[in-house]
Amino acid sequence: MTSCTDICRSILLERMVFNTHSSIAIPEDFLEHKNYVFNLLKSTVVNGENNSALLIGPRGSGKTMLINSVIADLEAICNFEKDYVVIKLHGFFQTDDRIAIQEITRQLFLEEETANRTFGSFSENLNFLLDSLKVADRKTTKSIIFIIDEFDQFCQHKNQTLLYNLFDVCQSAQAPMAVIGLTCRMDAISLFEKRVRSRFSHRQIYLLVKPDFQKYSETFVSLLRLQQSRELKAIYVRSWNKSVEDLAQDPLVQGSLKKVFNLNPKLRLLQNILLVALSRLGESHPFLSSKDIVTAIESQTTDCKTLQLQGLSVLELQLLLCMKYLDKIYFGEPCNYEMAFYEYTKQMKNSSMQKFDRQIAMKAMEHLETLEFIRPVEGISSSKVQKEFVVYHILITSEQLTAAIAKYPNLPTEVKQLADTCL
Amino acid sequence: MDFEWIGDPISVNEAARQLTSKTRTFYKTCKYLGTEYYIGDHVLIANSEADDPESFRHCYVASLVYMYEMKSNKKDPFRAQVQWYSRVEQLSKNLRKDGVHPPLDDAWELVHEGQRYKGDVSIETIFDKCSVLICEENEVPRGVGKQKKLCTFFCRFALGPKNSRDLVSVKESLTKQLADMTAKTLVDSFSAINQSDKEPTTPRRISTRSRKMSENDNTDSSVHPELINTPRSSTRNRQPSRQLDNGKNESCIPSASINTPRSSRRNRQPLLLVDSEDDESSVHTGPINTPRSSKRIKQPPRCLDETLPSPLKNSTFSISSNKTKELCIVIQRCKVTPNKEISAVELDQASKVKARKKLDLETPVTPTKAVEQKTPKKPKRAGSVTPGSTQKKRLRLTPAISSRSGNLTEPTSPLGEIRRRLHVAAVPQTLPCREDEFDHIYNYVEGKLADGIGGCMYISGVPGTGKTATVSEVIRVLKESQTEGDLPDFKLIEVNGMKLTAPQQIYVQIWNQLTGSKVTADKAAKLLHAKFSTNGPRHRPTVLIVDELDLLWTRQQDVLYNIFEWPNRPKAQLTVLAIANTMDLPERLLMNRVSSRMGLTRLTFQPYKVKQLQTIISSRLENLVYFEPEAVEFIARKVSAASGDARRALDISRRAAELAEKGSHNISSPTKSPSKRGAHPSKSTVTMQHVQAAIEEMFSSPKLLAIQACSLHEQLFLNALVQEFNRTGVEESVFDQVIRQHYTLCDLEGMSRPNVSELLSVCASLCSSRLILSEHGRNDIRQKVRLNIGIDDVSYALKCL
Repeated sequence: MTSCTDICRSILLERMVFNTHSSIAIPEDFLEHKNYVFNLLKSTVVNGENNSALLIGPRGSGKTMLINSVIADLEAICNFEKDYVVIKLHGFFQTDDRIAIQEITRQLFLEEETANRTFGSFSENLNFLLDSLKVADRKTTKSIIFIIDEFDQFCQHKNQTLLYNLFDVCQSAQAPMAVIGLTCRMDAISLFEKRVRSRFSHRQIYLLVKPDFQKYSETFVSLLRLQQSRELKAIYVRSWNKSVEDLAQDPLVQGSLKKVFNLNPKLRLLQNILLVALSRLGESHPFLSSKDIVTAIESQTTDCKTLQLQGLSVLELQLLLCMKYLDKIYFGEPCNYEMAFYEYTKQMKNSSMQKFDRQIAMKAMEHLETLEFIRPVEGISSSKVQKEFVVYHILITSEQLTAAIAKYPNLPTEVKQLADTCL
Repeated sequence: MDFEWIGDPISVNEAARQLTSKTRTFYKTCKYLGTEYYIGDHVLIANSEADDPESFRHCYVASLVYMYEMKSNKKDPFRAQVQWYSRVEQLSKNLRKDGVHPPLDDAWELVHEGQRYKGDVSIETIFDKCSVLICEENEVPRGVGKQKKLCTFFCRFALGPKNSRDLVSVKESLTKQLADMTAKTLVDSFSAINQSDKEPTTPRRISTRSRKMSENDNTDSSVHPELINTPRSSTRNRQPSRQLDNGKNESCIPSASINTPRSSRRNRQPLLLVDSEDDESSVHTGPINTPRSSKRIKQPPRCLDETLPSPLKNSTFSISSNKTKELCIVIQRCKVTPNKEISAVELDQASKVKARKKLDLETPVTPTKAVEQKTPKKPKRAGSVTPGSTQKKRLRLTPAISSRSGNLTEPTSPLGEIRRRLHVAAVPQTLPCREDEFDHIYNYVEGKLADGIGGCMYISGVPGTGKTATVSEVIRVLKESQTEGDLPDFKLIEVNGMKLTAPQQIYVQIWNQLTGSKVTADKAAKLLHAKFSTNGPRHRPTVLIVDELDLLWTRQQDVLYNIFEWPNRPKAQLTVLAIANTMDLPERLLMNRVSSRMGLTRLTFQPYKVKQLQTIISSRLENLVYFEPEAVEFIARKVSAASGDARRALDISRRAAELAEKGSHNISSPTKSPSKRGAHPSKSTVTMQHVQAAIEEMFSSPKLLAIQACSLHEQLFLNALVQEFNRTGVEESVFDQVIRQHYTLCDLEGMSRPNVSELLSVCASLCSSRLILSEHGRNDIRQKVRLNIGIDDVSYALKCL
């Protein structure tokens, strides 16, 4: 017998992982853009027009979501099976034209392909695809919709062959097709080679919207709100929704949310935070508390370097402090092991702490390098230089060091004093 | 390896007309490589352009019309006039008849070329006999294929008269020709009534020939092969008057040729010819039928060998018989072992070739006896499909996209119609504003084709100035005038540098478009070299269009070199139209030896001017007046100032029309829109506002909006970068310095400081939308960061908040 809490938890977790909830719909600001894209694709499918467009928006602004909802709408009015084919490409999967063309062929000829899968050389495939697209009668062939995610990646391919050919088909009376590119680069169009650019229709759709905290906290509530359903008791749903609304009004939660919002107002981060918070729910803990939210936010936003620093040995910490000190007095110039060790011995002269000798300090230094707290300066090949004299940059800020030292358990007071003088 | 004429020289009234200055002696029979060829025989002619000149798949098939010796031609004195048959795959696409039942058989079916083509070949290129069955339209005869050593083809169709694109039944066409012929002979006999010795030859020869043919293959009986080529319906009207002159010529020429002293002439066996064709000797009346004429002329074989132009011929001829046997065996093995074939199919192309080679290698091992035992079974299957074709078909999918269920609907609204017409893909009836360039290219290509020479032309211009469109238009017009018969038949090859995966692939493409077969790049290059340096029996002028030429650049420039070298060869008859973007490509990129071969014929397409763009848009709109003239001019001005790219102008006007359509929908409710639009046409016209909006949408980069869409800390970070720039005066700054600025700004704003990880993610997200540029993330806080937008833009956008 699963309790209401479990059911509630699983429903909400699913909502956070998959973008299936109705509240994660197209924002009102994008409805116009959506209509634009929809009409574009509709005219390709219904009238056989050739179109090309670019959807540009920062990461997490809902490009893929928009295109998916357009495709879903299109499916409602047109016969997907018979009238058009959707081909999806992704710039990080199809990393060169050869793979991309194989993938297009696979998606385009799914039925025939399964019967006998044969892929010849790249040029054969390309010619085959181009021959296919150069149809004799464009009136009777299916429309093709290309949806190319991470479009900018395709601009890096050699000669931009694929893009040229796709746009060339688009601008000449060959197979009816639409090419929709999704990218987060504002300057995507300048990546095109000149003849590719000339063939592109210059339809650019920018998905940009000013962040609004009011809407953000509304989304927070709607993400967590439960609908009445058979599985859940009505009374539980009511009390859950009440608790969620109270939570949103909690000043502590508001403050933390505001902090997250100022940094990154994207839906995806909010979902991740809620995912962490929701997974704490259980029999003994049936409702979300403000503490859950705050700790979840902290877990998502803590500085990883500070955490890592707390795992270092005292010697390593001391060496880092020395290097930071050197970095400070030399205005960011890099330093090598000898300098750091000299500084270390100088500070340890009047100390009662255990002094380590050269080899052990060297080992500690190497450990710091593998953890990437320090990094050899580029341009000087480390193989030619003795390892004592390899110069390093320190890659942590003094804030990170201070924070780590403050949290370090049982740190000798001398080191703390050293830190105070160094930073 | 010997060649000899058998029998007397004969008089040929038809061919004699063509004799102008060169002396030719005609014969009925010859013996070459141990095979006797008679006039009317069907023969296989080596296709020097194919990779395997003597394979049954690639060689030419023809019937002998005349055989003669031309002494003035020192290299190739023994020649033949032939009537060609074409393979099904050689037919041009628009000629192919899809409704033919049973369907055309690629392997063994031929199409009679009718009156369109006739050829003059060297007898040395003939390598074997074959037989051709003439059949009814819907009948596929039995026994087609290769039996023992004789290939049997069948022929159902002939090419129609010059302008038609249909196939006609071969029997009908032949009988029609025969009718023409008899009509002609009547005229001939009437006009040549004075020359009584000529008159009876033609009809009598028909009878003899047909009888002889019936011995060989009983289907050909009704047709006189010699007649196929002779009557020209188009020239018939002129014939009677000419015939008189020719008659005179004819009477003197054979005697002259007979009189030439021949060292090897022997007065032996005068009855040899009579033996085989006893009617024949009686036919030769008049000057030919003198006792001298029945002498057998024998060429010394060694002399013949020396006169062969290429050493290649020697070798191929000597092995030809072996080769055919081997081929037969290969086919046999493929057929007999089906499991082997399947495995070969499953392998990819390369391994398939290997597998085939393996089969080739295996053949010597298999005892010939076994093979011979299997041979009788073969023809039944081989008649339907050859192994090569089956493998190919299984390997390749047909390049086509599956068809849709419903038909496309045409746009109904007037602005929808405008949108359709303004699409870049919509093909206009004429290309306005490129008349001069059109004439230039047309005259050039036409001149080259008419003169039968080659040349190349370099066409340059920025994208979207109509280079490719103009060239395709030229080709279209050329093809039209070719079908009308004003120009010689030419072969068109189009390649695009962008559609190739590597420059060398161009050879494969060209060869594929020339012959339809696929070979590797190296092989194709070799074959093309051979093709363009020899004048094969059926050489046609070629027009090669190379689009995006600059993509073919390689370090060695060998591809470009070859493309411009071929047209300069005397026998190539190749015209190259090279299209590229840059005007100074030959000077900038090409080596001297390449640009020298390219020549100086250049044509530059200037970017379109305002007026031209206006004409282009309005010519597309034609009589639809939904565009304000000012709007059109505005577009033209905007585009010509930027790029002069016609595509851009069309895109803008199309988008403006869309916006206008949307606007009209918003104003008038969709339910009663048609009536309303009729009442107020002004609502659906495209005005300046629409154009302005379209241009705004297409060309402005919404930087301000992008900055305003950033989160607070992203904006602060941008601001921090500006501050850092103000402090140092250097555009590039290091991340940890920017953090300092950022923290200061945070303190000013009274906000909590974000930690370094958070700021790094802020930086990364700005970088992904390219508002800032940053170094590789491995450098962590030492990475260098710089703004990708103007500092003023940032300040302005942040002030606007």
